[in-house]
Amino acid sequence: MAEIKQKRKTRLRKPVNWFPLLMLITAFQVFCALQILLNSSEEIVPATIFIVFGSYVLIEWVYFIVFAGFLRRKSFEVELIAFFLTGIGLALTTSVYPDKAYTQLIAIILGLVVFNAVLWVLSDIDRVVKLRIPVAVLSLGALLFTLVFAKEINGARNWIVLGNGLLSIQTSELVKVAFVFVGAATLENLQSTKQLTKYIIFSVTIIGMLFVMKDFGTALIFFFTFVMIAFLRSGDIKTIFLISAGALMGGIGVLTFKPYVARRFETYRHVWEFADDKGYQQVRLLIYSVSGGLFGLGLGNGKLRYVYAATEDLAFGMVCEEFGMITAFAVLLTFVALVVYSIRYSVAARSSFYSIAACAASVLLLSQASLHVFGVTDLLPWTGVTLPFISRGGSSMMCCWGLVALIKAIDVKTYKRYDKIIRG
Amino acid sequence: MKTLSRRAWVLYLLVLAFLAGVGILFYTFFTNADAWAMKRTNRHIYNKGNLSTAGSIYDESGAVLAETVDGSRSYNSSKDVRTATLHIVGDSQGYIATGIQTAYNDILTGYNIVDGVYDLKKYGKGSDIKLTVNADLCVTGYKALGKNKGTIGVYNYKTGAIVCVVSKPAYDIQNKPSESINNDKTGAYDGVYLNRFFSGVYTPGSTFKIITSASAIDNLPDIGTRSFNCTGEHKVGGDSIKCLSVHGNINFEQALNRSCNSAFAEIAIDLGKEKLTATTDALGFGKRFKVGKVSLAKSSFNISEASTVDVGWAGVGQHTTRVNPCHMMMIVGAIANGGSSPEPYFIKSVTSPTGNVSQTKGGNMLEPMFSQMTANRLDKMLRSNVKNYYGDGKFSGLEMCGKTGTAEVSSNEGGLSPHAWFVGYSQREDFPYAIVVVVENGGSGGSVALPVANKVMQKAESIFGG
Amino acid sequence: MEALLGQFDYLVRYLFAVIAVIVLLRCVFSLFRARPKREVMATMINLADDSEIEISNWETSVGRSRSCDISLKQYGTVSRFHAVLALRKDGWFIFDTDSKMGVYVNGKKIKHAHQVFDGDTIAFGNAVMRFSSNGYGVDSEDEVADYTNAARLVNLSDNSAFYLNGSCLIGRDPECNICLPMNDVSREHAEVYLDRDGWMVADLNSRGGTYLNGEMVFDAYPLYDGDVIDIGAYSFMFRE
Repeated sequence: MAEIKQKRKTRLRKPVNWFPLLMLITAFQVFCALQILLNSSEEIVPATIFIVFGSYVLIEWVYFIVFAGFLRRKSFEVELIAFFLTGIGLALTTSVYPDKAYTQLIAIILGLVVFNAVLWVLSDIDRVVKLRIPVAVLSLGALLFTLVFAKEINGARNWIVLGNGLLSIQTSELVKVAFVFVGAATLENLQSTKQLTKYIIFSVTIIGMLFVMKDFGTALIFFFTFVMIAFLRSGDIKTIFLISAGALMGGIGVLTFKPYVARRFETYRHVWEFADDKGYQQVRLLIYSVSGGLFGLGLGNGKLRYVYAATEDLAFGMVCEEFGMITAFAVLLTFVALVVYSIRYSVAARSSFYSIAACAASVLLLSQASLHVFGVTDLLPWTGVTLPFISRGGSSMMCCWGLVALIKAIDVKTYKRYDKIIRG
Repeated sequence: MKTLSRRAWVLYLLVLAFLAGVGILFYTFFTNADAWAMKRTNRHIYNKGNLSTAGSIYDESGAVLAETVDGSRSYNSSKDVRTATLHIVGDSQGYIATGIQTAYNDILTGYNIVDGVYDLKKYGKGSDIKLTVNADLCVTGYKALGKNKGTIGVYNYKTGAIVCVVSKPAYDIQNKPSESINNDKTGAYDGVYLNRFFSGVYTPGSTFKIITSASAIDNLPDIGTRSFNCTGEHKVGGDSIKCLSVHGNINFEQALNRSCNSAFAEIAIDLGKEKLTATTDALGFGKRFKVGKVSLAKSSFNISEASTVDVGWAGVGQHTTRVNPCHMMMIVGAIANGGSSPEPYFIKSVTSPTGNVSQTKGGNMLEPMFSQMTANRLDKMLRSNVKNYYGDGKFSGLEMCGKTGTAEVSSNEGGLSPHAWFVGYSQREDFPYAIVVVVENGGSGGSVALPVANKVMQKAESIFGG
Repeated sequence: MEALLGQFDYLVRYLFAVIAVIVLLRCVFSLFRARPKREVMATMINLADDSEIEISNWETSVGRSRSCDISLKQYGTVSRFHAVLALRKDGWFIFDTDSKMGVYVNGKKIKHAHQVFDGDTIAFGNAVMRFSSNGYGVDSEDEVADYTNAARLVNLSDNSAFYLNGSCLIGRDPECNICLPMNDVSREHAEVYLDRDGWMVADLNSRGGTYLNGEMVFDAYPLYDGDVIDIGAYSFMFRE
């Protein structure tokens, strides 16, 4: 008995062996492709599925062969999770909107570019320190630009549409990475600038602009992240409490004086009474989520897909119905794991910058996932945010991979050179 | 770094909050799964609110009562069968809550939390249900009720299998007269969606005297030797309990034979509130019985606040007392079966899409309602009712025991006619069936309900008898 | 064919769930259990009382405040948050974080940041320390290439290294690859060998037992860089 226990304890400390897991992930995606092919109506061209999934699997293998084979990185849990979740999202998109499959594939490729770019930027702490101010200015500018020129889609003015709708970008997504990047700081920076004032002004401006865009969900995510970063940086509970109280008051004020905002949340806890108007999507999500059972109905057999914005706003329900509740709840657990990983490694990061960035990025992902999942299932007010990695959307895909890079950078082993320094 | 990593521990709080949320979410999913999946807007199961893909329902003899053909529900080819079995089969829109198509739609669709509604995709249906109910018998019962509303139930008091459930008014499910039902002013469709047998409660009238008798046998040792003098009423203080005729000097058995109100009011007042309530409690008044997944309406007997004269009225089945017909049937079933009734059921077997058949065993005894001795005594008295008073000719060859009832539902003269009741059972070893008949506003139990009961029992005998 | 496809559609659902659970939970548990390896990367010796302060963070704060990694409470001349010692890619640096009395390296007051080397003295106000890096931060590019990644056992008492090749027996017997002539070491005490999963240490039913990072070894255990193996009175660190 003791022997088995002891053995397991040491086994699990080892980073996962990527090869068998990647084989499993590949199998998963191949099955997805087959099932889409099997259950599809005529409108899907088999070649599309073949190309999209073929390229995606190829990308995964190239990534791992390069980084594990040639660059000899050690731990791959974070990427494996990201690739797996992204794969689920890609399968859902391809099966529901075959015409948007290529766009999603390109978004994933761009996401990987962002991932590696962020990792490269983070490799040198001096470069990071130099880049913080420009990134802050750039993100403020981008949001301001959005505020002025944006188009309103689904009640939120946060889309920049270029070339007659050929390309639409949600700047608030891209600013997420920048927000964490600007918020983190090295220890000597923290010690010499003890005041949070500048950072508070920066955050309040960004959150305020999101509020004006009526993108309440994203504003809330930023607020959580901001509180977390402010606490990690200063440990100043009093100031943070004041800010939160102020935000709460502001929120209550908005809800009382702007009744149209409150009306957006009137279905909260009452979706079944609004089953045929405002609660339409949520009620369908609940019905079809349980219709899927623990193991799901299989890709393409669901009915939630015919509901508006199924692969974006209702992504959790899509996973529940077509892949089953077991998979859906396993997905939720991964966001927890990212946070725990960040906490565990925060003491051993190369700089407090990485600790703060990773903790903030994982909290951002966790809060976005909880707003999505609990919002759409009516446990929290529904704000219409997307489920990281799985929801369709280019900007959010890039954002998610960027955030994963921030989490990944906390581990010294990510960078070979530093790995060597520590080995001496 | 030390301070920073210590601060990072706060994140565990977020993690805990998230995990708690996930836990709550899973719990709500798990507990609500059946209810949510069976919602009318679930297009896996319903098409525009109509049950579309589900298993078949067969009657006891194997006749199709409902099935799915090419993605929509179709029913028995005979209009009479469709109408008479409406309440047991249920409609496809869920108006009839106790119908199989609503109460058992998870079995019909094969829904379960593990596989979801996958059976529907794989087999195009869930499980098939075979009932213990005989459609022809239901048709006989439905026709026997004539123009009156009412309900009839018949079950085997040895096994508990319900072979006949009729509730009137009903409609032909294939050609639902929605217009008439929605704009009904005449009352012809009052409570059309209610299965009166399971969900109705009625004033029991004289049928309740069986229960008063049971209490008397248990609590009054001299009841067998007592004699009663009926002058057409039983005076209590300034009030009185009226009897339908002047019975003169009679003993206990004769009092039940002739359904003498004076005698039973006297017995009830003699027994007192506590003993009567103890008897009704033992019989399951105020308790919710279940027949499969269907909950019966609760019978009620409450005299705690009643005046003495009202206790007398309660003893003859009036006052505020209400009885569910199925419950009444179980009570006489218990008498026939030596004190306890088997658990009633109406599902004979369930056949899964893969062909696995699970039979309902039946014969599970409920808690005893009467002692063996009391049951035997009542059995004799109920037999005496038919043999000596109604006449065996009314139920030729059935060796029936029973009691009629005429339940006043209107306090003023010339108001609504009383509900006519008959409860009883056949003593024959080869035909152990009990019946309850309620004809709403039908008039006297002896002249209205009793012939209905005879017709149904004769038909039942031709199907199930030895 | 139709039936076959239907069966595939039916079964693949279970497969999806199983793969998802294996992949995600495997990664999740790995992340849950992940714990960074931490070592003493440098030391500072307080010259006033020769006490040794071990530094195991990449960034270390120095000051009078209790929340500093190196808390110099008893020195009135040290600011609450005085300085930060950090390991950067070029080596160790000391940053003066707006302290009142300043930071001195080898007697010279520094402006903002200054690189420090082995043996430098650093003064925070009147607290004077001697710095010595534990070999961290020294550019290791010129190390002998063959041995950078080679597995070896370092005897912690004399820092001698034994380079591993295939299998290595440890015990009292002179035939063993590493011979430890002590009474509390069994004749054939333990074995370190290369397995499919990497280097493993196995106890060969020794009397005194083999300990890996303080835990008794039953059967075989995988070894990771920095693990310490205790055999009798001897301690070895495994490096690769």
